[in-house]
Amino acid sequence: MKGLKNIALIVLVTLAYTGYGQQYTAKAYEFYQAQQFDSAKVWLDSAVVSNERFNSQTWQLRGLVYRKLESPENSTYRDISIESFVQARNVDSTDKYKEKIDGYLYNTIIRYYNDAVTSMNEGDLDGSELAYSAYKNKYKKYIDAGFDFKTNDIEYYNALGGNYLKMVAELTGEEKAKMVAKGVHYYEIVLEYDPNQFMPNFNVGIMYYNQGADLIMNMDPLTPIEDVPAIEARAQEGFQKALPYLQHANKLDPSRTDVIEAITGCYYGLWGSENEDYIKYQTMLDERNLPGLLEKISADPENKTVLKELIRIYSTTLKDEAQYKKYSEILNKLED
Amino acid sequence: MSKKLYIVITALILCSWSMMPPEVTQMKDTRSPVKALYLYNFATLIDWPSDYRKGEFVIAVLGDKEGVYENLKSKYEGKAIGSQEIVVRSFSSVTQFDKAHILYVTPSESSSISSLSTKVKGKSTLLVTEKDGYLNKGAAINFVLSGTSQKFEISKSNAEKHKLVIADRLLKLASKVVE
Repeated sequence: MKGLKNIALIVLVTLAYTGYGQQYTAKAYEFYQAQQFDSAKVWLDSAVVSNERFNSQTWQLRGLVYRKLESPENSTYRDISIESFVQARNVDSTDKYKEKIDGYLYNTIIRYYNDAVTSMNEGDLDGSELAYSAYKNKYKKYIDAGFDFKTNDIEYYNALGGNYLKMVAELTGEEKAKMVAKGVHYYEIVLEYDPNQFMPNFNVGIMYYNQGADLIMNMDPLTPIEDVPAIEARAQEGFQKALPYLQHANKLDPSRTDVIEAITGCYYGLWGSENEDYIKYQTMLDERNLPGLLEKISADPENKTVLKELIRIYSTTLKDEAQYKKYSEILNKLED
Repeated sequence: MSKKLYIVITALILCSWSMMPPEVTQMKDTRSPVKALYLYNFATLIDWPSDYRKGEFVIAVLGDKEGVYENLKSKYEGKAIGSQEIVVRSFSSVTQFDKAHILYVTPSESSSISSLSTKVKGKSTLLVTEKDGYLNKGAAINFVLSGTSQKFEISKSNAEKHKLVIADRLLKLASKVVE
C-alpha cells in the first residue's frame, strides 16, 4: 500500500513539476517540516535528477531526510545520506555551507561509532568491529584524512579485548581457543600503539595462562596415560606465552598481587614447586598475603583453610619453626 | 544529544569495559591433576596378588589433603579397577595408616618414609613418593620432573618386594627404571 502511494506521488510530482517547472526542493522541505519524510524523500529524489541538483541545499535536505528514514530495514540510507552531504559540499563552490555540511557529515558518520558501542553492548563483537572500521574509514574519507585514531583505537580495542575476555570465561574447547585468539589480537593492536598499557599486558597474560591451566584442570580423568605429555606440553606453551606479558604488567604495576599470583602459577606449571623463580614469586605472594591471613585467623582461630595456608607458608617460603609448630598443633587438634 | 555529551557517554562505556576484571587470576594447581591421573593409571597397569583383588581398591594419601587427594577423591572415587571400587582415603600421620593398595606420600610427609617402609613391609602396598632419591628409600614409584614434564621413575625390585607386577606399558613410560 505504501509502495503504491509512493508511485502515485512520484507520478503526481513528475506531472506537476515537469509541466509547471516549480521547485521540488521547496515541496520536499514542506514535507520535511511536517515530518512526512517518506514524501520528502520522493520529492528530493526527483530534485537531484533535475536542475536542482546544482543546489547544495537540495543535497543537504536529501541527506537529512535519508538520515531520518534510516532503519534496520533501510540500512543503505545512511550511506545515501553521507553521499548526499558529500555532494552538497561538492556543489557548494563558495564554501557557504561548509561548516554546516561538515557538522551533518560528522553527526552521520559518528552513528557508525554508536553502532560499534551498541553492538558491543549486545555481545555482537564481530558486528561492533565492522562498525568501528566503517566509522574510521568514513571519518578519514569524508572528514579528516589525517586524523590520528591512536587514542580512539586504544580505548576501543581495549574494550573489545575486554569483551572477548568476558566471553572466554563462558566457553570451552575450540570456541574458547578462537575467542582467546581474537581477544589477544585486539589487545595486540593496543600494545602496538603503546606497549606500556597495563590492562592489555595483564589480560593477554591471564588469557594464555588460563588457556594452559584449563587444559590440565579440565583433562578427562580417563585420558590414556600416553596422551598426558602432549596435553602437558600444550598447557605449558600457554604458560610460556603468558609469562612475558605478565612480567611486563608486573613492571608496570608492581602493587598488583593478582599479577604476581599469575606469574607464580606459570612458573609452578612449568617447573614445579622447587624452581627458583617459582619460590621467588611464591615468597613475594606469601609476604603480601600473610598479614591478611593472620588477621583472619585471629578473627576465626578454627578456620582450617587459613591454618593450612599458614602452615604451608611457615614451612616453605617464610620459614618459622615456632609458628609452624603452633599452627600445626592447632590444626591437629581440630582434625583429631 | 550534543556531540560532546554523546562522546563522553560512549567513552565512559568503553572505559568501563576496558577496566573489567579479568577471568580468573587465582593460581591453579596444574600439577596435581596429572599426578592423580598417573596414580589411577598405576592402579590399572599394576597387578596385585589375588588376596588384594577383593573388596575395595584403596588409594591412600599421606599428607596434604589439597591437590592430589582432592583430585583423586573428586575424579576417581567410585570408578572400578576390575571388579573393585576405588575408595580414596587420607591420613595425616603414619600411625593412622593401616592398609591400602596404593599409598601416595606428599612431599610434606616425605620424612616419614623409613617408618612407612617398615609399616608396609610384607604388605602389597605400592609406595609412591615425590622426592629425589626416594627409590633408594623403599618407594616403588617416585614422581619427578623431567624438564617441565611430570614424570615418574620405577624401582622394579621395590615393587617385587611387595609382590606387585608392573606392566611393560607402564615401564616404557617411566623416565627411569631401576631393576
